[in-house]
Amino acid sequence: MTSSSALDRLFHPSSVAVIGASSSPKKFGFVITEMLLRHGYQGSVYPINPSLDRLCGLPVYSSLADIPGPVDVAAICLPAESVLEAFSECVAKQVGGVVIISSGFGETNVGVDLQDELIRLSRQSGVRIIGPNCEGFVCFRDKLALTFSMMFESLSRSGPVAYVSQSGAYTGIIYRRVAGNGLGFNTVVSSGNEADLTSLDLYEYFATDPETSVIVGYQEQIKQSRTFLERMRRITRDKAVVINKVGWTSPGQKAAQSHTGALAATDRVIDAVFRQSGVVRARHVDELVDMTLALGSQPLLRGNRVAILSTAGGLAVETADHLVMSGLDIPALEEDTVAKLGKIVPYYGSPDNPVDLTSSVLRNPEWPAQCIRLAARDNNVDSAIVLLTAMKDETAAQYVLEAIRESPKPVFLCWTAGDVAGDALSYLRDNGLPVYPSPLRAINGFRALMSRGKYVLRDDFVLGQARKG
Amino acid sequence: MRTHPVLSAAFAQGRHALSEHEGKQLLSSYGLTVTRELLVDSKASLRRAVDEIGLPVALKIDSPDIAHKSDLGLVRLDCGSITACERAYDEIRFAVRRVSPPARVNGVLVQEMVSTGVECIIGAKQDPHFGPVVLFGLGGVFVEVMRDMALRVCPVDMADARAMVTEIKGYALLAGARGRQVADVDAIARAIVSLGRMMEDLGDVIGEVDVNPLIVLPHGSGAVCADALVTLAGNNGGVE
Repeated sequence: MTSSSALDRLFHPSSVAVIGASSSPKKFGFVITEMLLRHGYQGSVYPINPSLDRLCGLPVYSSLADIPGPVDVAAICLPAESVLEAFSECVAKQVGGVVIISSGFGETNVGVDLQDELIRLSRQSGVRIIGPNCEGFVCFRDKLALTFSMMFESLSRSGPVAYVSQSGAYTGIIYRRVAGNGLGFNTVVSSGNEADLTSLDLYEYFATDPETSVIVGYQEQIKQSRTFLERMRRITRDKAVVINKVGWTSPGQKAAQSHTGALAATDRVIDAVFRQSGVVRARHVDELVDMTLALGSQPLLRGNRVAILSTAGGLAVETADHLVMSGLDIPALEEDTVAKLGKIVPYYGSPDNPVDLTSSVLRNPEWPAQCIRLAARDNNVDSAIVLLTAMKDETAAQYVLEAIRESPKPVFLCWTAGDVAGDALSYLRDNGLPVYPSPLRAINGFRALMSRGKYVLRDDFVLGQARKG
Repeated sequence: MRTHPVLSAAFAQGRHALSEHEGKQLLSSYGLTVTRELLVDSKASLRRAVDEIGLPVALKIDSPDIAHKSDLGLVRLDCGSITACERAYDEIRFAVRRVSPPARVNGVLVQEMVSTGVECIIGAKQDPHFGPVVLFGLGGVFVEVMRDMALRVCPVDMADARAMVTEIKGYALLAGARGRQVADVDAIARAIVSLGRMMEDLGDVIGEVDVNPLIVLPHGSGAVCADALVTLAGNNGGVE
């Protein structure tokens, strides 16, 4: 178990040192220093390099010991053979935690001993390690980007997602695609070889943060497997968790093994462990994005009955097919709802479920929102999915946002015309409403909510009768 | 280290597995229902056993060294008369001498025939990462070929165990499809939970457990282990 206060110092430091700071723009030691300053981090930044005097307008120190005040966290960007010495200096300076960017450790044959020695020093001193062989981390609340990854050139506002990735590149991909869809992150960590702090340690830490409502993971290996079930159950009591655990086929496992230097566990067993501990499992990058968006922006799903509202009839049918295949039910709506929808939907559409709104509903900016309200309030459904082909009107988008925000039931918005309806789309995204580009992508989100809802509510989760063909 | 007399004896003898009879004694001590059976080593004891258990019976060789008895012609099911039993006994005792390398033989197991019910499989093994894991599936091709099975990591409770039964693809066969009676799902769940407890207690000394078939009777009538294969962890104690 990890003491919260040690990690508080690591993720919310007042002072950061960059060991191996560089004036060469292509080196990690330069980019990290520059990123720290660019985003407006308010704490003290200390570049360390015996050969430099100044960097990015800051004085450069020859060693950690020369720094007058305390140093809460240090990033090490030196070649592997110099890292142990640098780490010892961090211990002497009583740093809270160290982010080791350097490669050449447990992920290689020759670096295993070096990594073991690092672990020993860490245990002995209590100085925590993120990495080695990682891309660093970002704490959005503090505008602290301790990373060289250009995927973090711009920082979204802080939000409910905490993300830990064992793959460097995957860190930025998920951040961009989720934040780009309107959902904010509070912390992103590239955990690297996890010599000390593991994904599970970090999930536990983020579970104590009131701002976090969904914890996301990309894992190639699961460490601390014997206690995983018990520890994860405690986490999922309060927070939704979605993990993409890769390497479930033999070739995939071989690829994972060489990446982070560890054996892959039997995948069926991983499935069982996730199921038993309430972890929602994503199987690929699109699923991880869609599931994160859903779990981070939607209320709890309490049953499997869905109302479909669509401006395109064909899309509604496709959506219904795939929802049913995923275990959802498309019930008839209440008489009152159908009657009221019938006043808005033209005769060539359909006011019952799946509701064919037709494109004529877009002629009045209030109509889409009214229809959403009617469907969401219907007692026969637990959620709704709204398929809009091209709603260009920003006013209509405002009303839609209001209607969705008001609903205690999840409402998914699916936008199939792409960027054609530019302003309306941007308005929704800027206001934190995720929009899915297709029914199947939205259904990924539904499946995540189903998994979470069933786990939390158990027998109280409402199951309608699935209509089969 | 928790253990059980049949396990200690097996380790002391340097064996890799328990015989079917020993395996069933172990399972029975953890609350699983096993077939009524007696171990015999003579025609006289055979006749007494048949009397006590009642026809029809199954006869099987009992040996810690032979896992796949039916493949080797060492099993006779549905022996409906004493004559049939005696003939089966002779055939089995003769056939086992052809087994190579020579097997240790404890005798012949005379077992009650459980003729109705759905054949299922329950099992357990040690996952190197997560520890003891229990498994459930339907017998025949469902688990072996279709890989239709449910797994859980221990500890497993009744809710988990019931979920394991209902989540397999072939569940309809237990729920009364194709003219069958509804099977005793709760009995399956109890057997799974008991097996899980056994693996948690004895996980250091047991490598794998395979109950195939677990015969599941109609609702309310229970589930019976008709065979049991228990493999020991490593050699002479300790996990490898």
